[in-house]
Amino acid sequence: MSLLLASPELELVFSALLLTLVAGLVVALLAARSVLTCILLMSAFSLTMALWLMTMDAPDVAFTEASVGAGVSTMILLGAALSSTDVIPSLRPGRLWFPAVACLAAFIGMALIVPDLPVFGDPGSPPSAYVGRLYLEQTPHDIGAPNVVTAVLASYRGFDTLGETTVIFAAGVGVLLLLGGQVRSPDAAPEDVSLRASAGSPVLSVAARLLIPIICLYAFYVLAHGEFGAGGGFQAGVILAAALILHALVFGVRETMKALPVGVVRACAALGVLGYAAVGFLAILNGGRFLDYDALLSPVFEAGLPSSHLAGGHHHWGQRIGILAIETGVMLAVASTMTAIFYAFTGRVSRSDAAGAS
Amino acid sequence: MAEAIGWIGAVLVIAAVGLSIAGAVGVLRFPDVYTRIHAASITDTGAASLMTLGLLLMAGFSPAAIKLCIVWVFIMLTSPAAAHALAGAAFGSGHRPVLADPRQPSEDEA
Amino acid sequence: MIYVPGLFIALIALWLALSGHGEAFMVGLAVVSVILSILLTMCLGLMGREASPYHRLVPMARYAVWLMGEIVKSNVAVLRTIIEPSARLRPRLAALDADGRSELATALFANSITLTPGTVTIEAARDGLLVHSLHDGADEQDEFAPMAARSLMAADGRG
Repeated sequence: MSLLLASPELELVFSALLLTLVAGLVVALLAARSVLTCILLMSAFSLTMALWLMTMDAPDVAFTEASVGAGVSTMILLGAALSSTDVIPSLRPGRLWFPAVACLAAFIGMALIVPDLPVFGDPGSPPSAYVGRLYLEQTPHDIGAPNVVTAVLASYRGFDTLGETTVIFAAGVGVLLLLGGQVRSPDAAPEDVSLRASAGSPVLSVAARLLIPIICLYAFYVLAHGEFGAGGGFQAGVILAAALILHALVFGVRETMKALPVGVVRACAALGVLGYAAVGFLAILNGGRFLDYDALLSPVFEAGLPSSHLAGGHHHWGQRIGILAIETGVMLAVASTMTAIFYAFTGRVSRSDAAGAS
Repeated sequence: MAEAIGWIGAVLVIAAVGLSIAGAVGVLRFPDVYTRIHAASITDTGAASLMTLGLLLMAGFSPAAIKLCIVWVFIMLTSPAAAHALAGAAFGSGHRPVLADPRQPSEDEA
Repeated sequence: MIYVPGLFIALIALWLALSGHGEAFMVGLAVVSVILSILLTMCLGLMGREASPYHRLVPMARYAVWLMGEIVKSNVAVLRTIIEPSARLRPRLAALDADGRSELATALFANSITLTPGTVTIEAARDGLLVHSLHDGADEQDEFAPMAARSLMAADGRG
C-alpha cells in the first residue's frame, strides 16, 4: 500500500499534474484583469509550488513557500490593494511586444541550459558531492540536530543566515522609508483595513479570539521543532505575523496598534537582528569565534547537563542553545518586519483620507 | 489486516475526490453567490472529513494520525467563519440573493 | 483571569499532542512558549470566555457528534440537488431569533448553520441571524429550533 504510493512513477505523475496546474495558473494570471484576482491566483500559485516542493523532498522550502508566499504576502498584498483606493484597480494590457520578446529570449536561454544541469538527486553532482556530502556526514557529530537543513542554515552557515535576516530587516526599512516612516499615534490609524462588511459579527470575533492564541503557540512550536523537522525562525516569524494581521483584519488595525504600538514593533525588528549578532559576540567573549556555538557554554557547565538523546558527542548543548537563540532572533526580526510593513500599508489610508477631508 | 484498512482508506480518499468534484459542479451550476457557497460547503465539510478519515485509516496509529485529527478540527472551526465572511461581504456590498419567493422582503426593504 | 488556567492546559495539551518529544528541555520550551502565547493574547486584549472556552469541551464534543449527523444528512441533500438535473432551487432568506445568547453561543449557532451545507449565515449579531437556505422548509423558526437549543446547551449550559 504505502509502497504503491511511494513509487517513483506515481511521484512523477503527481509532479507532472502539479506542474501542469502551475502552468495553468500562470496563463490565468496573464489573462486576469483585476488586481484582486491576480493576488488570489498568486497565492494559489505559491501553494501549488509548495506542494510540488514537497514531492521534491524539500519540506523546509515547501513550508517557507506556503507560509510566506501563500500566507503572509497574500495578506499584505490584499491589505495594500484594499487600503490604497476605494476602487479595486484593474489592469489594462499595454504594448506587449517588448515583454514578449524578453520573456521568449529568457525562456530559450534557460532551455539551452537545462541539458547541462545534473539529474535530480544525482549523488555525483557538484552540489551534493563536496561540501554537501561533508555536511550530511559531519552533522551528527558536529551539531547533533536531526534536521540537517537547520544544522546547515543556523550553524555551519550561521553567518549567511545573519546576512539574510539583515536583508529582511533592510527590506522592511526600505518599505517604511518609501511609504513614509514616521511613527503615528494609534488614534491617527484608520479603521479601514478590517473586514468592514462583517465588522462586529460575533462569528469572526469568536473565531479570531479562539484561534489567535493557538496560532501564536504554533509559531513557537515551529521555532522549537526546527531542530527535528521542517520549520525554524523564518516560518515561525511569518506565522506569528499572520496572527497579528488576523487580529488587525477582524478587530481593526487601530486596536492592534494600541496593543502593539508601531514604535515597539519597529524596535523589535531591530532587536531580533541585534540579538542574533549578540549570540555571535557572546561566543567571541567566551574565547570562540563569531557564531561558534560550541564556545557558548563553558565545558564545566556543559558536563553537568544531562546528555541530550540527540547528542553523540560532548559539545552539542552549546549548538542546541545557540541554534535556538539565533532562530529566536530571526523569528522576532521576521515577525516584526512583516507587521511593520502591514502597519505601513494600512497607515497610508489615513494620509489620503486626510487629504480628501481637508 | 492493516493492508485491508489501508485500501478502505484509499477508497474513502477517492470518494472525497468525487465529492469535491460534485461541489465544483455545483459551484458552476448554481445561479448566485449564496447558492454557490452551499455547493462549496460540500467540499469544506463532506470531502474534507472523508479525506481526513481515509488518510487516518491509511496512517494507522502514529503521530501523523493525531496531527490529522487536529487539522480536521481546525478545518471545521475555520471554514464556516470564512464562508460567513464571504457571504457577509457579498451581502454588505449589495449582492441581493435570487429568491424563490420574490415578494419575500430582504433585510433592507423590511 | 479565571480563563488563564484553561487556556494554559489546552495549549500545553496541543503542544504535547503535536510534538511527541518528551525530554525535559522540550517540555520546558513548551511551558515557556505557552506562557508567551498567553501573554501575547492578553496584550492583544483577547483573554476571555471566547479565547478559552475549553471548560465546555465535553458538552461541545457531545454537540459536535450530533452536528456531524446533521452535516452528513444535509451533504446528501445538497449533493442530490447538484446531481439531479430536474432539481429546482427554492432559495430563501430567514431571520432567526438569537436573543439572550452569549457571544460564544451565537457564534456556535451561526457556525453550525454555515457548516451544514444548504444553509449559510449571512449576517450575525447578538440579537439575531440572517440565514440563506437552498430550500425553503415549513417554518423557519421550527426548522432551526433543535440546532438552536442544542448549541445554546453546549455553549452556555442552558436550554
